[in-house]
Amino acid sequence: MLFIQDRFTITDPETGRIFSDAIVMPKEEYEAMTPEHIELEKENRFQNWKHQIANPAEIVGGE
Amino acid sequence: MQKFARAAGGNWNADATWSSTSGGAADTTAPTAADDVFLDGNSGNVTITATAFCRSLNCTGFTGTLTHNNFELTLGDGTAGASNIALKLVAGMTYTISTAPLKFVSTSATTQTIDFGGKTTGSINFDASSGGSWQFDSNHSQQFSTNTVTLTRGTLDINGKTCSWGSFNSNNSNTRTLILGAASITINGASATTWNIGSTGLTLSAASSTITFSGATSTFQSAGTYGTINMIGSGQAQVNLGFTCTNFTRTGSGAKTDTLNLAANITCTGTFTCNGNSTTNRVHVKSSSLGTSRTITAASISITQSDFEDITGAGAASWDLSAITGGSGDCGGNSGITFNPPTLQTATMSTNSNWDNVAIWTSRVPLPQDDVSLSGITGGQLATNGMPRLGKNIDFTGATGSPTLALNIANPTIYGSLTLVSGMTITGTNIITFAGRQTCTITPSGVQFSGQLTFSAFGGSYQLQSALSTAGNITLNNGTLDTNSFNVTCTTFTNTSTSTRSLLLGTTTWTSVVSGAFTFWNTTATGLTLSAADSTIVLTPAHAGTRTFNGAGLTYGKLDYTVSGSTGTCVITGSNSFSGIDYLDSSNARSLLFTAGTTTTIRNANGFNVRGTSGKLISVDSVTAATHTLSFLGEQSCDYLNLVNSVATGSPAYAGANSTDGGGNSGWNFTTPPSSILGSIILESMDQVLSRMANLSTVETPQKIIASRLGISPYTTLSVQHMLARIQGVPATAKTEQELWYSQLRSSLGLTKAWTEYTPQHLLNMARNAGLTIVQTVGV
Repeated sequence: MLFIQDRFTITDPETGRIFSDAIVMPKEEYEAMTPEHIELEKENRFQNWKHQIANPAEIVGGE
Repeated sequence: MQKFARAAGGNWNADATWSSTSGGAADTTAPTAADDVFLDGNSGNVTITATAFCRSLNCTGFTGTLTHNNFELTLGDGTAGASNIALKLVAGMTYTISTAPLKFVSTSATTQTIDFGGKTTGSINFDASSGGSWQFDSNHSQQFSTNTVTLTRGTLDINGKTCSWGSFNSNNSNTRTLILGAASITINGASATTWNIGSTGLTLSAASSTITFSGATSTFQSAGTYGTINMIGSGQAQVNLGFTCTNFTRTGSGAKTDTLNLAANITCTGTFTCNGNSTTNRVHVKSSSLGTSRTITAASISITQSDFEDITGAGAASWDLSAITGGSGDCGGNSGITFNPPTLQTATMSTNSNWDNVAIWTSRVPLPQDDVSLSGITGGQLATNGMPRLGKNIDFTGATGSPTLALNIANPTIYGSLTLVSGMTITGTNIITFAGRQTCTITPSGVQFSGQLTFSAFGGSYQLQSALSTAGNITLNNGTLDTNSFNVTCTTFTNTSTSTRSLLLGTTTWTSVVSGAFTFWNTTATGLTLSAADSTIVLTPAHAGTRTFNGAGLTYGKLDYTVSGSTGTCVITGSNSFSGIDYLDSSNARSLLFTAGTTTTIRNANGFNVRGTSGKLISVDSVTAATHTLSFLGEQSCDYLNLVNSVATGSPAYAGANSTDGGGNSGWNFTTPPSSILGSIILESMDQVLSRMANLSTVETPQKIIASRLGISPYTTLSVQHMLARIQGVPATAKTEQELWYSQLRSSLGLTKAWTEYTPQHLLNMARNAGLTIVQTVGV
């Protein structure tokens, strides 16, 4: 099975911190997605990351 | 002398309790170590209420009660007990104990007998400063699993009796002898080294013995030769020292996490037996040290439902386990053993199911060597249900219906890659261990892990294929973790193993989201290859407690602790190198502490981006009252600091005019840095560029900016070059604005002439005409 790895980077405009991630999926599934859908997926990943680092109370565990 | 308990009985240490004759009057004193004590048919009840002594205790004919409270009864002196009896309890008496210990200390070389008369006892210690020889004349049981039989010094002959002990301890180097004969001893202690014999000083005769460990998580520690060793308790059954036995058996319980953990080799002249309880309640036979092989040598083997890791099968036995009942699992590192061939196992399920449900799999619940496809999942929750070993490469590609992987009951290990798919969920706080010994990947696909992730990949590597985020800790114990420059988000990072391991971060932004006073980055240098010079490590949650970065003197990129409102101190240990440290908080004061005596290197100019505000200074100090050193490889400009015990070396360090000198400092200039025309590069979007170009009045030219800072009005009075000449202290290497523009634009515009051939306006026009998105502003 051939996979696509679509790497992307988004810079948080508020902090300047860089979010680096990738969409990895089978080629046929990736190509079936619209560009808008792909961009939405990337934006969702970025927003999830921002949400996580902004809400430590939701984090469990530790050293 | 001989002393008899009187008919009235009484306390052991009361003179009135004793007589020099059986049934006699109170005519003597309480027993000493030189007295043979008799409780006989003429004796009443006796109670031990304090530390007590006698040469021997003989209860023949006694039908009363000896109450032995929690005080040691010491038996023996330099003479053997009467009739060579050290202790004789009898069936007709009652022996009531709490945790009462018995201690045999006779230094007589004469062998004295011990007959427990079917009574259970507390702990017993055999400790003769010289000589001392005892032989069991009966079977023996201890009352509690916490009771111990201890052989400190002397000779102890179990004489082939049947015993039930909490544990046996002879972990010393004294001269001593243990003779088991054909004894059958059950050890029912748990969670301890329940058979513990030091490696020197002991003469052991145990070749015909049978020792059975029934307690959970029990450890057998003894060299030498034994008869039969049975380990039937649940949990981790451990062998600490190499030994020889006739037969060895590990029998699993109904638990999924039973192991046989070998810290040394086992040699069986007969049969090595290992039986798991079922195909899913398997025994994990493994080395106690990941990657260090242990050898099991056996004349024959009998194995079912077991998995092996770092085990070498040797001896005359056939180690072909490819057709054993319940299958044989290969976790890696084994040799001399033939396992079931790996078979792809595909799960098919649409509603909630468990990993150990064979009905959802192609042919069997995956063995550690089996690749696992979850492509047949169309929904529901797949619970690991305590399965400790999930398989080799675990791939959710093709799974639909937003499935959930629930990590419940026990910590699972994966022996290969893990591929998740967008839309799925992981729940449960059990630890996932990645233990592949080959090149592996992790593809989170935006799925957040729910607990700790541990990498124990001996000789293997794990490379991220997308950003990794977990609500727990990340631990690197062994192998390589290559983040592949993707983001990593977790609570804390633990990297304190001394095993061979690599952490490759590239340009990763590693964010610690731990909310609490934790060591959010904890590493040791031994065994570690670290590539992190271009990484960014961020601590985001605000907290009042102290957070620690334990860097082990290694090279990192930027450390970022800039969350607003966090009053907690940050401690940096080790002589580390950072490209920079961002440590800003405009809302409150806080401290940045370095270990005294360390040297922290800051590689970038202005990389020491530590700055408070008026009335809210950032304190830079040492953890203890001595200096630390900051070695700057470029000029630093800070402000609003309270500097204490800080030695700045290397490039000029400007603490700023609003900083305070708290003492113990050197190398810092408590002034603002001299003016410079070095500018900053700002990347803007094309929309921003066009917006600024459409309203040129808002764009400040370099000439205007510099004139403003120099107080030149109107700013058109002097050219930039003229103003440059007025600036004091400009470094010889300072670049003019057109030189800076030129350096940025030369490649994009294909410029071939020297930078002095262009004016700033010329360069700007060419950039606009080329539609470039870089706008360079020059500030002071």
